[in-house]
Amino acid sequence: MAVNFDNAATTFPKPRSVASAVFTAVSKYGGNAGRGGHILTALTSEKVFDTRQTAADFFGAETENVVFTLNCTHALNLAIKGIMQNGGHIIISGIEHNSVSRPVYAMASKKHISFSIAAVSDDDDETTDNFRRLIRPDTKAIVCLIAGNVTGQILPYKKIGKLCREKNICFIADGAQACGIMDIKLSDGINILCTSGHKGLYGPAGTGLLITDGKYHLDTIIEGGTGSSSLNLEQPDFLPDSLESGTVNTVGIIGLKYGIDFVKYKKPERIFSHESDICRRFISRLDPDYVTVYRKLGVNYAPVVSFNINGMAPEETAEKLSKRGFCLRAGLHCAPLAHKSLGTDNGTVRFAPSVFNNSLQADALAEEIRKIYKNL
Amino acid sequence: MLLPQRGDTMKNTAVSMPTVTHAIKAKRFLQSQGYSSEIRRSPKTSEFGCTHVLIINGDKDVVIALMNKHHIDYGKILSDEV
Repeated sequence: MAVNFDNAATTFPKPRSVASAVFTAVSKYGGNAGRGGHILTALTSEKVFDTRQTAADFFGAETENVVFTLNCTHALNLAIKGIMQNGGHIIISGIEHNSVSRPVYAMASKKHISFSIAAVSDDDDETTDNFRRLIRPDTKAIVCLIAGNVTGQILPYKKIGKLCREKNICFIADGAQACGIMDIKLSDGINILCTSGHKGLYGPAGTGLLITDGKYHLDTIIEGGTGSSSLNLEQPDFLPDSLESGTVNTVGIIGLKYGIDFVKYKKPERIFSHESDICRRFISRLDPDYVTVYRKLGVNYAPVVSFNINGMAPEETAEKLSKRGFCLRAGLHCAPLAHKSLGTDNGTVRFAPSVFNNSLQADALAEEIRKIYKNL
Repeated sequence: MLLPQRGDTMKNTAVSMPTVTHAIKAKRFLQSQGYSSEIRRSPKTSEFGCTHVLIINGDKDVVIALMNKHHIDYGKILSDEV
């Protein structure tokens, strides 16, 4: 059985309770949530609501302000394009994933909006000031990740949220690498939190969340059937239906509840601590003479480690490790801006443990890396 | 908590709900306050089309006041139309 250290892309394995819930959903909850009034749809609607309420409680939101999406990218597109549809200026960080940089770039290339990129420093106050300096009278939003998906660097999101509040700017936070391992709440100053359901929340693939405090209206980019206000040709203007057109992923959503419950039971801070211990152990086993680890002293990191074997392309390293039973992702990790900032144009190999990994597995991986280097 | 009292005359109150999410939220809230309710589809085509309706076992003035107090969203009060 392969050891998965690619949990920053999607966590695997999933908790048994999630697998069981998915099976139950497929076998029992076959109605179309919110459509019709028969018993099957009513039961399914109640189960979907259970997940919505669980997510709302977990992130400190109103239940109806939790929108189910396909993934974090989908949520970010709804948020960014929903806020910026009538033009304006937006600021992103210099280590964003393509889920942020591409929709922003796409809108800017059509001259709909303009954008600026704030450099991320090792110093949190300097990073916050970098955002502050870029704010213009027409700035509508700041969007940035909470923790980076390449090095795991944690951005000063609470300070950025405070800045946005002071300037009356919408703060959209990408929680893909943070939710489930950090105690993230809208009350941290976040107006719109976007996250995946299948990473740190341990839900099935095909699940994501957009959670809003309702302060900023989001124009829609997808319209269609919602099971409500059907006579009206205009999309409903109330959440969650305004942003949830078409049949939702009931099977994934029902499974997601059990993923969030699992995280609540384990506690995000304990998961963070467990995974960070594994990262430290892994780094300690790597010889700096032949492995470069992309971390700096004094910087806060989520449990993700980017590294390279000196003189070897990251893809080659990952391929060799795969043949030895270790699953790690190599390349740019869909974050070219982050690699530009990091100076790793050819990418890195990414080590990302989950709650199901342990230090012995990290030791074994480090030993395989040593063997690979010795055979160079 | 406003629980029905002995001797009260139980009345039904029907309110339309913007979405099924609002309907379930209201139903569960009212349940926590001692009021049973049931979600149904609108018995006739409303002015907006498909709608969920919450039929509440409780006096209109009391349950509406309770929902208002706790910021539970609802659409239109339909008591006379059910």
